[in-house]
Amino acid sequence: MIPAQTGLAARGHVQLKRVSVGYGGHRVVNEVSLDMPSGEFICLLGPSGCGKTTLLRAVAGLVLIEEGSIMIDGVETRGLPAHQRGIAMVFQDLALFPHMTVYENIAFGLRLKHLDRRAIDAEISSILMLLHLKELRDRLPRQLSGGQQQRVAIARSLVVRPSVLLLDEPFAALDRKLREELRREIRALQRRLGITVVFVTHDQEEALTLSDRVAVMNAGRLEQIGSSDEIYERPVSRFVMNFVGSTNFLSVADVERYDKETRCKLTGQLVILSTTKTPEKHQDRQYELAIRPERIRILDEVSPPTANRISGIIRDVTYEGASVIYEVELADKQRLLIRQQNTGEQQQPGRTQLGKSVVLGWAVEDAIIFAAAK
Amino acid sequence: MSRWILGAPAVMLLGLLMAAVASVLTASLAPVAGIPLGHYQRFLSDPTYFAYITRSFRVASLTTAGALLLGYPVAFAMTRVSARTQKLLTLALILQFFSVNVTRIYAFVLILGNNGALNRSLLGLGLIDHRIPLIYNELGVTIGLASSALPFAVFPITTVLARIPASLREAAQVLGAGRGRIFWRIIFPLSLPGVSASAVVVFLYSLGAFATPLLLGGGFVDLIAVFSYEQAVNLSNYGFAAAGAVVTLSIAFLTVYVFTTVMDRWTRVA
Amino acid sequence: MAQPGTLSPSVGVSVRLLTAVALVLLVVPHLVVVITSFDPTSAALFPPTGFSLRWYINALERRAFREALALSVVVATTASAIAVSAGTLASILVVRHQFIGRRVLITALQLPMMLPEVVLGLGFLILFTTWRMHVSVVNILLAHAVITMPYAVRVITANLQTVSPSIEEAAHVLGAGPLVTLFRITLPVIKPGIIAAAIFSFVVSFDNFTVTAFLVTSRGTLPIEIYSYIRTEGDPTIAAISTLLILASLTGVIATVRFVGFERITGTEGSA
Repeated sequence: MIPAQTGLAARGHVQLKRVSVGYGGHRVVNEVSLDMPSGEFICLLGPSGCGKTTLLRAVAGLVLIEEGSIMIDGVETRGLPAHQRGIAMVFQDLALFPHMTVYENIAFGLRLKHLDRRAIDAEISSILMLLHLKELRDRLPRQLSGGQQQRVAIARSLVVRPSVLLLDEPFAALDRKLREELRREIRALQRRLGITVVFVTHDQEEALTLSDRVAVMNAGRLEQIGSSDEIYERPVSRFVMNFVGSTNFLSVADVERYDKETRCKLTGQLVILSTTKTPEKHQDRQYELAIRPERIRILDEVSPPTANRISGIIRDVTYEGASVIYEVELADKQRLLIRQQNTGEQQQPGRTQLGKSVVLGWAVEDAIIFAAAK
Repeated sequence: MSRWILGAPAVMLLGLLMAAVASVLTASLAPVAGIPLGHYQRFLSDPTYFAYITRSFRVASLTTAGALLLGYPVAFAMTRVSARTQKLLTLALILQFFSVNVTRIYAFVLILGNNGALNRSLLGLGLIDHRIPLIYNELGVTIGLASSALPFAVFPITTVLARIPASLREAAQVLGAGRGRIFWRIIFPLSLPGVSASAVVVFLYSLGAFATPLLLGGGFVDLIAVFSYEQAVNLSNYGFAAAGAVVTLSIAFLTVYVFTTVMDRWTRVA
Repeated sequence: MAQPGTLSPSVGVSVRLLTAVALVLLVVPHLVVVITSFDPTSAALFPPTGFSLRWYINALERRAFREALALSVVVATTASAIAVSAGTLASILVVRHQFIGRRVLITALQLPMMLPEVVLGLGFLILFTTWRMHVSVVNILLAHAVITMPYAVRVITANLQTVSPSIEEAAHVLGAGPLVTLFRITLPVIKPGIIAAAIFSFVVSFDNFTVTAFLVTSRGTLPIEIYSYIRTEGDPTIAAISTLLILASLTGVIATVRFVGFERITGTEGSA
C-alpha cells in the first residue's frame, strides 16, 4: 500500500504503459502510454467520447484495464483499490454527500483512516483555511453556492493527502468568471502542495492556460502530448490542429517535398512552406493546407513582403471588438477566415470593406500540410 | 455489494408469491373423482357458476367506464387549475387511497341504502316519490367500486398529461386552433397511453373486488372473489375455488392483452 | 387565451362539473360517515336526529375492536418492516447494478400489485394449508409482506434514481467499503424515500381486507372485525370507528405528502 504523503521525496509519478480499456473491437482507451512526472499539472483534452474520462477513472481504480499497466510511484496498481493508490478524485458533479455538513464531508475520508479526533480536527481546520471555507464548516451542500461546493469537493480530496489529484471536468457547469477564478486557485494550490494533477477537460482554452503539458486524445488514442505552445504551434495531426484553436483548411494540389522546403499550389499559385511543417509522408492523396486565422495578414503598401501571397475578395466582416474577422474568397471559390487585431490604425473595418480585393500573405513557418480528412 | 445479498430477501418473498400462485394452479388442475380438469368442467358447464364470470366482467367494465369518465376530467383539471386546487384534489385522492376500505364502503351503505342519506334527502325534498334502489344491486356495487378506483384512474392519466409539453398547445393556438380542437386533436390522442393504462388498472382492480360486492351487493352481486371465498373458506373446495379464479383471470388477461394491443396499434396510427 | 394555471371558462364548464361530481363522490361519503357517527339512534339515520357520543364509547370499549386494532398494528408494522427492508435492498440492486435478468426482476417485483387479491388470498390459503402452517397471524404477516413490497420498491426506486451514483463512487475512492457506503451514504440519503415507503406499506397492510379474509381463523384484523360488526349489528358504532380511522388516514396522508412530495405521487414530477 502506498503510504500517505509525509516526506518530501518526489511523489505522484504516474506511468501509463500501453493502457487499454475495453474489448477487442470496441476499445474505449487504446494503448495509451504517458509518463507524468511528480508535481506536473497535465490536462487530458479531447472531444466527448475520446476516452479521457475513462482513462482518468482507470488511474483512479474505478475502471479495470484490459491491457497495459498503470504505475504510481513505481508501484503497480493492478489489483489495488482506489483508496490505496495515493490518489484522490473530484467528480464532475462533485458528489458531495448531501446529508452531511461541509465538515463531515471532508472528515469522511479521514475517519476511515481511523485517525483520532484531534488529528482529524486539525487537518480539517487547515484545509478549510487553505480553501477559504472556514465559516461554512457547518453548512449543508445545498446551502452553498456553486463555487463553494467546488472548494468543498477539492478540500475533501486534498485532506487525505494524495500524491495525485484527479479531476473530471469539475468546472464545466460554472459561469466564466467563476471558472477562471477556480482555475487560478487550483493552479496555485497545486504549485504550493507540489502534487501531480491530472485534469480532464473538453475545453481547449482551459487546457492550454492551466497545464504544464496537454495530452490530446481522440477515439481512445493519444494524439499528441506536449506543452501548450507545442500543441498549438506544432500540432502533429490534423485532429489536434483542428481541435485546438481555430484553423483554415484549404485544398491544395501538386504537393512536392524538398529538402528545406515544401511546395504546393493553392488556387494555381505557388505556396511555400517549411518542410518541418509537413509531418505527413508524401503519398498519392488529397492534401490540405492548414493555417490559423491570426497568422494571415492583409497586405497593403506599407507591409513587409512575405514569402506567400494570394489574392482574394472580402465577402464578410465580423467585428468582435478586440479583433476583426474577415471572410475572404479566393480565386477557386475557397473561403478562409482572417483574424486581425483591432489596433485602431487600420482603416475602419466594416461594410465598406465588402467586395474589396485584397492580397493576403503569410510566413513560410505559419502553415502546415495535412492529408485531407476523409 | 454482493448482488445475491441485495436480492435475496426480495427474491424469497417473491418465491413465496410464486408458490402461492402455483398452488392455485395446481389445485385447480387436480382431477375430481378421476375426471381430469374436473373442476374446470364443473365450473364452465354449470350456468350458475359461469354467471359469476359474466357478472364480474359486466360490473368491471361498467366500473372502468365510470371511473374513466370521472377520472379523466379530474386528471385534466389537475393540470390546469391553480396549485391550491390541485393540492386539494390530490389530497382528496390520496385520502381515498389511504382510507380503510371497509369504512369507505360502509359510507356508501349509509348513503345509498333504502333508508340512507340519498333516498331520505330526495324523498324529503319531494324530488322522488318512492325509494330508488341503489344498494344490493349492480348499480350500487359499480358506484362503490368506481369511487374506490378513482385514484387509480386519475394518476396514470395525470402522469401522461403532464408530459405533454405546453409548447404543443401553444403552437396550435398560434396556428389558430380553438380549445376544443386542441383538446380532441392533440391532447386527447397523446393522453391515450395513460387512459389505456388507467383502464387496465381499474378493470383488474374491480374484477378482483371482494369487500365491495360483499357489503354493497348483499348477496345479490357476488363477484368471482366472493365465489372463491365461499368455496375455499366455507366449503374447503380449494380446487373448485381455484378453477373459478383461474378462468376469470385468464379471460381477464386475455382481454387486457387484446385491449392493449389494439390501443397500441390505434395510438400509433393516430 | 387561457393563462397557465387558470381554468378557462368554456373548456371549464363540463370539466368543472365532472370534477365537482368526482370531488363529491370522494369527500361526501366521509362527511356522511362522520356526521352519522353522532346520531343517537341505532338505525344510522342521515340527517342525524340528535347528537350523541355513545357509539364512540361503545367502539372504544369493545374488546373485539381493541384486540383487532392491536393485531392490525402489529401485523402492519412487522409486514412493512420486512417489505421495506427487502424492498430497499432490491431497489439498490436494480438501480445501481447491471445483470442478466434485471428487467425480469423489475417486473417480478411489481407482480404482487398486479395480481388480483383473490388469487393471492386463495393461493396463500392453499399454500399455507399444504405446508401445515396453522398460525394465522404468521400467515397473514407473510402475505402482507409480499403484498406491500411492490409499493415499497416503487417509492424507494423513484427516490434512489434521483441520487447520482457518483456519491457512492466518491465514498469508495475515499476508502469506504461496501457496507460503510451502504449505511453511511446510500441509506441516509434515501431516508425520505424509506420513510415514505414505510408509511405506504403500513397503510396498505392495515387496510387489507381480501387476502386477510382468506387467511383469518379466529381473531381478525380491524377491517375484518369491522365487517363482521356491520353484518351482525350494523349500528353507528361503525361510523364512530370509521371517523377515528379517517382521522388516522388524514394524519398518514399529511405525513406522506411531507416526505414524498405531491409531484412524485401524482406523477407530475419533471413537468414545467
